[in-house]
Amino acid sequence: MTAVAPGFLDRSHFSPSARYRLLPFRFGRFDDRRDIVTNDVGEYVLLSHEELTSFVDRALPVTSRAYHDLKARHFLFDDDSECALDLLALKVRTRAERIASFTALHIFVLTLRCDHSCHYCQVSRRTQDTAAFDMTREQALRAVDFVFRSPARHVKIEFQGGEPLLRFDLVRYVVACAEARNAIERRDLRFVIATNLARLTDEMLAFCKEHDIHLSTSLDGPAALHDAHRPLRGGSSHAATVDGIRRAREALGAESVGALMTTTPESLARVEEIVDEYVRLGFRSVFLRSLSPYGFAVKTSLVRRYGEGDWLDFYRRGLAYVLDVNRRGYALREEYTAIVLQKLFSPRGTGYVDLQSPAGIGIGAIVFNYDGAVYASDEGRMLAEMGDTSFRLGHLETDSYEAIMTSEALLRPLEETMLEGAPMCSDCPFLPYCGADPVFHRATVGEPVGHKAFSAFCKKQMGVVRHVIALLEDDPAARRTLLGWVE
Amino acid sequence: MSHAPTFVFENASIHMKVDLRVYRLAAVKKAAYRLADRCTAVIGEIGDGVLPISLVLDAGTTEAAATTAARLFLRELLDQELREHIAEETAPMRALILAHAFSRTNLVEGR
Repeated sequence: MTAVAPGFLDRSHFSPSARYRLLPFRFGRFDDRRDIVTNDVGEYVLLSHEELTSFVDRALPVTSRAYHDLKARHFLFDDDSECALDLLALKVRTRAERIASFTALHIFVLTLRCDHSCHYCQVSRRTQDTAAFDMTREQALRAVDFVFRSPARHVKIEFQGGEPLLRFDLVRYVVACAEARNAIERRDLRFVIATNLARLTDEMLAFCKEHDIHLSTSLDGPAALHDAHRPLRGGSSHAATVDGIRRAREALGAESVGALMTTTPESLARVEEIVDEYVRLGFRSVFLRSLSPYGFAVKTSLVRRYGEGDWLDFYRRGLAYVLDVNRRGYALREEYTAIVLQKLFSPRGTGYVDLQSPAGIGIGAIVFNYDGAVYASDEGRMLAEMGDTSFRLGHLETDSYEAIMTSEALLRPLEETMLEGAPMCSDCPFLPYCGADPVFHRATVGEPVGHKAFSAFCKKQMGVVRHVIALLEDDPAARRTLLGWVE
Repeated sequence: MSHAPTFVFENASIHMKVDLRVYRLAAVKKAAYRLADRCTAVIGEIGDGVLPISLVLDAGTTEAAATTAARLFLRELLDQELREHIAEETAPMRALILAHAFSRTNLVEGR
C-alpha cells in the first residue's frame, strides 16, 4: 500500500462512516430464515438473524443491502442522515392525524325489523310488524345534532338495521336534516345504506341518486351458498340481491353499490366459487370476512363450527385465486388485504375501525341504536342485544355529547386496550399493522384486552399480515398486483 | 461458570435456573407471558442472582415435547432480553421523535 504524504488525510477518512445510532424499532421471527423489524411509522425490513444481531451490535457493513434498507426506512441514522429525524417526525405526525380527526362514521340503526332471518345475524333482528323496534324522529334529530358535534371534516352517516329500507321515511328525514345542517357546516358529508336490497323501489333509487347515497349489500357467493344462511320469506335472497344490484347500478352508476360476504362453514371449501360470483356480477372488489362472535351466530353455534386456522386457509386460498383472476386480466381487489396494504404503505394508514390503536370505538365510529341508546361500536350494540351493555355510552334523550364522549364506558377500554401498552402487543413487530378490538375480546374472553397468546383476533391478524408480507417479498408477480391496491 | 440456563425434566415440568446478570427479570416475565398458551411458568425466589423457574406443562407431556417448550422459552427469553436492550437504548430517541412530531400541533394545549 502506498504511504500517504505527511499533511494529507488517509483514504479511510473519506470512506462512509460505520458509526450509526439505532432508531426505535420492534422485531420478531418472521419465518425459519428471517426476522422482521418494524417501526412506528409502519416501515418494515426482513433480515437474517445474523444481520439483525450485527445491526444491533453496530457491526453491519455500511455497504450492505441491509444497511441501506434500514437507513432508508428509518431504523438507523448516521452522519449522512441530515433530515432523518425531521422526516421520521413528520411521518409519526401524519400517521397520528387520524386520531385527532375524531369520529367520522356515524351509524343510525333505524329499525331492528328485517325481512331476512340470517343464521349469522349479528343483531337480534325482529320480524314483528311493530314500531317498537324503530327509532323515533326525535331521536334521529338528536343523533344528527350529535354527528355535527364531531370535529371530523369527513363525515359518513350509515343507515343500518334490521333492514333500513323498511323505514325509508326515516332515511329521507335524516338525510334532509343532515343536509340542512351541512349547508352551514360545510363538511364532506356522505351517506350509505346497508341493505339486503329486497325492498328497493324505483322511488328509493331516485332519492339515492338525488342525494348521492351509496348502497352496501351482502352477497355470500353463488345462490345456493348465499340462500343457505340468508332465508328470505317468500323467495330467494340471492335473486332479490342480484336484481337489486342490477337496478342500483342502472340508476346510480356502476360504483354505487358495494357488497360484503360472510364466511360460513359451507363457504370454507368454496372460496373460488365465491370469487367467481363476484366477477360474474361485475364487482371490482371482494371482502373475505370471517363470522363475528355476536348475535345469532352465537345463538345458532355457527361461530363455533370453524376456527381462525380454517378461516386463514380460506383467506390464503381466496387471495391466491383473486391474484390469479388479476393475472387473467380482470382487475379485482380483496379488501382485507387492501386494508393491510394501506397500513403497510400509506403514510396515513387506514380508517378501518377494527384496526386502530387507540381502538376505533367511539372515536372512529359511533352507533345510535333504534331505542336512542348510544354505543361505542356496531359490535358493542350487538353485544348489548346479548345482554352485555359494557359498551353502552348513554342515551340521546338524557345524556349530552360531552357526557357520552367522556364516559368511563368509552375512556376506560380506549386506554386499557391501546396496543402500545398492552402485554405482548407493545413489543410485537406487527403492532403498526394491527389494532385493538375491545369488543371482540369482551365477547370472547370477558374482558377488553385479552391474553394475546390465546386470542383468535391476534392469530387471525398476524396470519394475514405475515401472508401479505411474504407475498410482497417472495412473489414478484403478486407484489406488482398488490401494490396496485394501495390508494 | 456457564451463563447458559440448563434444564431438568420432571413430572411434566421443566426446571431451570436463569442468571439475572445475563437476563433481566422483565425479560423473563415477558417470555413467560408470551408462552402462556404452551406452559405455565412458576417463577421462584432470587438467590445469588439466580432465578429458579419451573415451566409446568399438561400432565402426560413427553420429555421431547417439554424440551421443545423449554427451547422455545429460552429463545423467547433471548429475544425479550434484546428487546429490553433496544428499548433502553432508544428511549431518549423515542421521546425526542414524539415531542418533535407533535411540537407544531395544538393537540395538547392552545385550542
